[in-house]
Amino acid sequence: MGKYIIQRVLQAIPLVFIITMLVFVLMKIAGDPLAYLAQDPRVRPLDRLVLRAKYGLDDPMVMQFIYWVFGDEGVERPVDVDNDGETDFTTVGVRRGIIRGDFGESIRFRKPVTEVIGQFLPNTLLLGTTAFVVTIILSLVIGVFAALRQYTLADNIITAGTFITYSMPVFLLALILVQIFAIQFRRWGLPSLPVSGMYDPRGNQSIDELVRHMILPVASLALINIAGWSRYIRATMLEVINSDYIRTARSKGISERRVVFLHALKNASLPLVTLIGLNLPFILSGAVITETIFSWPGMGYMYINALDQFDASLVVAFVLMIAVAVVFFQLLTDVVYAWLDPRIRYD
Amino acid sequence: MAVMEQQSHTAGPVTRLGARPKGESLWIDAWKRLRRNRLAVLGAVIILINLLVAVFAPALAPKDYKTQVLADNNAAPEWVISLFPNMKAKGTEGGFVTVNNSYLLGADSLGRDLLSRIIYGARVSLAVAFVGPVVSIIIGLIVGVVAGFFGGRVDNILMRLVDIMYAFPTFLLVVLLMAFFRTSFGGVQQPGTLAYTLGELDASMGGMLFIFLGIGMTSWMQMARLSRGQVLSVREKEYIEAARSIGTPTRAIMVQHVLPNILGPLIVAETLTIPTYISYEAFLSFIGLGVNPPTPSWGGMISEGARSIATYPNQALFPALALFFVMFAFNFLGDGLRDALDPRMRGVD
Repeated sequence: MGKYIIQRVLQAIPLVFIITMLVFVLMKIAGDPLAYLAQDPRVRPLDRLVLRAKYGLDDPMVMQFIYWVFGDEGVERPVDVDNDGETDFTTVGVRRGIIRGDFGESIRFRKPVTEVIGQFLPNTLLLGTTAFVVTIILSLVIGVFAALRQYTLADNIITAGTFITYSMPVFLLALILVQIFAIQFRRWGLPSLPVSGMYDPRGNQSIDELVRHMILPVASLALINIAGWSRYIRATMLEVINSDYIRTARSKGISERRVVFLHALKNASLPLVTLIGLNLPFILSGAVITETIFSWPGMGYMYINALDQFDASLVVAFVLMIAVAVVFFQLLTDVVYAWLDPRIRYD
Repeated sequence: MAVMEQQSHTAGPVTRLGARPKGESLWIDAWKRLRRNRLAVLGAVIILINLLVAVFAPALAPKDYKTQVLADNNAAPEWVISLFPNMKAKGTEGGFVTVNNSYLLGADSLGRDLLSRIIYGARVSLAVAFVGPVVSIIIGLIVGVVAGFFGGRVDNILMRLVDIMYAFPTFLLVVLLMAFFRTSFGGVQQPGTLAYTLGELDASMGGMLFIFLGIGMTSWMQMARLSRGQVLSVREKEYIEAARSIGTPTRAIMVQHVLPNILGPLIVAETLTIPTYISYEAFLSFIGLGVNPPTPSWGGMISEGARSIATYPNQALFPALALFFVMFAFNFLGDGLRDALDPRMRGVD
């Protein structure tokens, strides 16, 4: 087991390195980070020269990459203001490198990128985790139920329902939910649900208010995902329930409940581990569409805004964070899977 | 169903040894199976209707999709008003909606006919539905077949590339690429450069070129993995060995024996991914990175309509329904194709 973990970690390290390099190249292709200053009449050419030196934009690419990753504290760069070949003064680098969490400053928020992410991440985690948990629980219930009643009326209704929600673009579902629970409910005098933001803008910031704001986004996220997941659970459950060891267990006279929950579900949940593990990192990235529709101040919302404003350092930090999270959770999934199912380790 | 199939296989005319039996090719067989799947046929019919609507959009659209009649902004016909109780016709108490029955589904906030825009919007969705898979199959097939066929170091490098691409969430990458395309190729460019040509080409296609590129460049990895696996498994099959032993040249083996045998799963996988492509386009247009206005796209229309969902729900719901039907149809067709081309997989999902 230890050997397997080490082997997998060793495979992941170059992957993370290459991803970091790719993101860096992407950032460089995206253009000159100081280009926006060219439009500003208040910025003298001299200032741009100093800024170029400060950010090390004239360093060789390899050095720029190394500084970006590990920081350039104490690196001195000579600035030749009047272009006479003499060094007029030197700038000293202060960046600490992404490895120590320094992604630079966000242009839009005028704050360190890590602070901006720290501001949006909790909101996304709150929404994403809740939707995730709801999805898993409900799809387990629905999937197992449908598998145990294969081809009955109930199973067929569930199948039809999942097919419909599966094809539904998330905004159609969100719009329908808004139309019913926010607009029509208010007309009918029923307690209606709020449709945007996390809290009432009038200042009521209680937990109660937060929960009410979460219902619709969580419901639309969960409903979309339950469709695919419950089908998947139904399929794995069917596969297991028709296998020999289940028949053996039944023939020994074990109660049906024990057979289903102890023998079948335990084995059927193995592939579920993969599904959960591979989907966990995407909680971080936030649900771009859902967050946009419900104006939820999360990562997806931030990402779209950052792209809109050409906030390069924020976009880069975000993409890199998600990519590394994907690699990490893949690794974790593999290890957990190998721990749960010893057969994996020996192939 | 399974019993019927067995019968149809055994009850055929007995062929004499040595005589060439009248074989049914995989595709004819698959077509027969597909026709029996009612939901898949329904999906195919919906797609066909959509295709016809998209092709004959100028003839079918009752009005011009970009003519703005500001007097008729947010107008709606009577049946739509009676359908949504929160829309109140002008003249009634608290009424605010202009009644105009010449707009069959209503007009948007700029006074453009919704139905005509939905009809023209089918063009964008279907274009993405057909070009997306083509781009992704071409890139994926080349990478996968090369990796699978040559093996060794080439295989290793290409598959690590796929691993890396997989680490980026597709939708975020598409959004990033779109923003990148728009900033580096859009706007004012020097005529004669590649960026200028690409920008012009994209503008002439109403912004669709970049969508194709963005979606194609981010969704070939699954194809590459699949086709590599297929090549690996097919490469060792007896019939390949047989073909090799009678001296068939390698290229002929690849084209005549390997390719037809790996194509089935690829087509199935792509058909099942089509709804994803359609939704990517809709999402992109929804967040304003999709087609250029005034080219109508369902995602863009939903985004515009969503702003006034409380007062004019028809403006967002009708395009959303159109999108839903097309995605639904492709899902069912893909499912049917999978069952038809690979009967072993029936009932797995």
